[in-house]
Amino acid sequence: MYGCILTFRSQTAAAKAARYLKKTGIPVRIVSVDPSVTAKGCGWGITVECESANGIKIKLDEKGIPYGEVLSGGI
Amino acid sequence: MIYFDNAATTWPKPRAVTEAVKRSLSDPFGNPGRGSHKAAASAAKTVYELREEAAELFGADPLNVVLTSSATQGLNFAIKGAARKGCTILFSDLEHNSVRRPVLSLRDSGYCHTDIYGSHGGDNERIISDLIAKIEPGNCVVVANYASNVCNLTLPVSQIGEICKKTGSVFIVDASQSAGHFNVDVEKMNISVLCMPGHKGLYGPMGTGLMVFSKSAAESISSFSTLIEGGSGVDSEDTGMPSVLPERFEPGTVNAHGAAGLLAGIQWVKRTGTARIRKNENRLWLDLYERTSCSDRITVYGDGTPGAIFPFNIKGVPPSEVGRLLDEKGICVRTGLHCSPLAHKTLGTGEDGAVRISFGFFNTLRETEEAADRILKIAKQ
Repeated sequence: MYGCILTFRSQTAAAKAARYLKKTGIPVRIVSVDPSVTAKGCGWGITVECESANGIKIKLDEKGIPYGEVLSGGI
Repeated sequence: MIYFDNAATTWPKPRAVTEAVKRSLSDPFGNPGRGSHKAAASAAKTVYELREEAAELFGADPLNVVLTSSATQGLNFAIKGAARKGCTILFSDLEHNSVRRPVLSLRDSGYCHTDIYGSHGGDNERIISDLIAKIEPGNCVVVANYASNVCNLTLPVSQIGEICKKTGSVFIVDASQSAGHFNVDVEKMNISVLCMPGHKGLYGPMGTGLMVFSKSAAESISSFSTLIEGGSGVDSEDTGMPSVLPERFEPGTVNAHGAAGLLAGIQWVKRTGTARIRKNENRLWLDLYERTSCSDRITVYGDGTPGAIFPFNIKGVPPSEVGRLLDEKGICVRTGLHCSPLAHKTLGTGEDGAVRISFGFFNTLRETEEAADRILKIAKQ
């Protein structure tokens, strides 16, 4: 059960994060984010468990993969 | 048929390439980057894998790999995107029209100044000193053809890259005849933007190409202006293209079916190895050279370096006629100026051009033997 979405600037950036997380044993799904919740319309994200969002952000920071905000209640 | 026109496009393609394209056409394969349903996700996965494989091959980040329709499109994006009003664009005397024409169009519109640095028959010292004399620190775009499409001359890309780094110049490399033949690393060679077709040395389908940006070029990507604007799948409410790669230079739907083939092509090149590919090309070149060198009516151009390109003329027979006579026997070659009048002028074949035999990995010594027999017969006529 995934309750949060971690957003990215583009679908390609989300794909990079998803590939990396999969390699580290964290399967995620890439989803489009509703324009109403993004600053510029049409965004992308990956589904994450809300409680593991911070841990995932640390992993992405370590790898230098930029991400956006965490949206709760996504899925 | 003997296919000797691999510098125009490689053929045959590895079986994996054909199968990958077929699968992308028959299996659910949606629009990558435009939706998150299963079909779109399948195509997006393939497109991302292509970026990842290309990034690994050329020393870049997958996010900095842009899909284009050709090297020409990539070179236009890179040259016109990097050029600033009043800047100087330096390009070599080996450049293809995919570089020469966009550069000269900027000059003719009064936007930029241009100058040519010499290839000096492959004398690297003279090439570098010529470039240093012409470079304008902080206001220059330098373009280099890594490997010519007319002969086997190569430019010292690493050395040119060092000079560009020292002088704060944007360095654009045309890798049309070098990707898949030579090892190219954008970071190690200080290349800002590397442009290439997918359908030549990478053995992908026609209609594919890549632009690979270095980390530093990607960090200043907003300073690269866009030539074509449109849907990008992100930041839809913005009036301009996104300021991130690869989306900034991918307006509209990418050629995902082509990407599937190119992914398989790059994987094949990696498995085979550029050293093995080059070894085969050199072997074929040397065999053909040896077999045809007995005729004093045949001139082979270049500095004697073996490689994928075998340019020649037969005294008294126009290149187009040689091409026609070879075609009659099922031997496919390309004649004329090869869209590179500048390189032909440099080579001394500027009027009628030459006959170009270009090898691929699947050519054999049996084919060079048959071609040599036919070429010698034409020379004797």
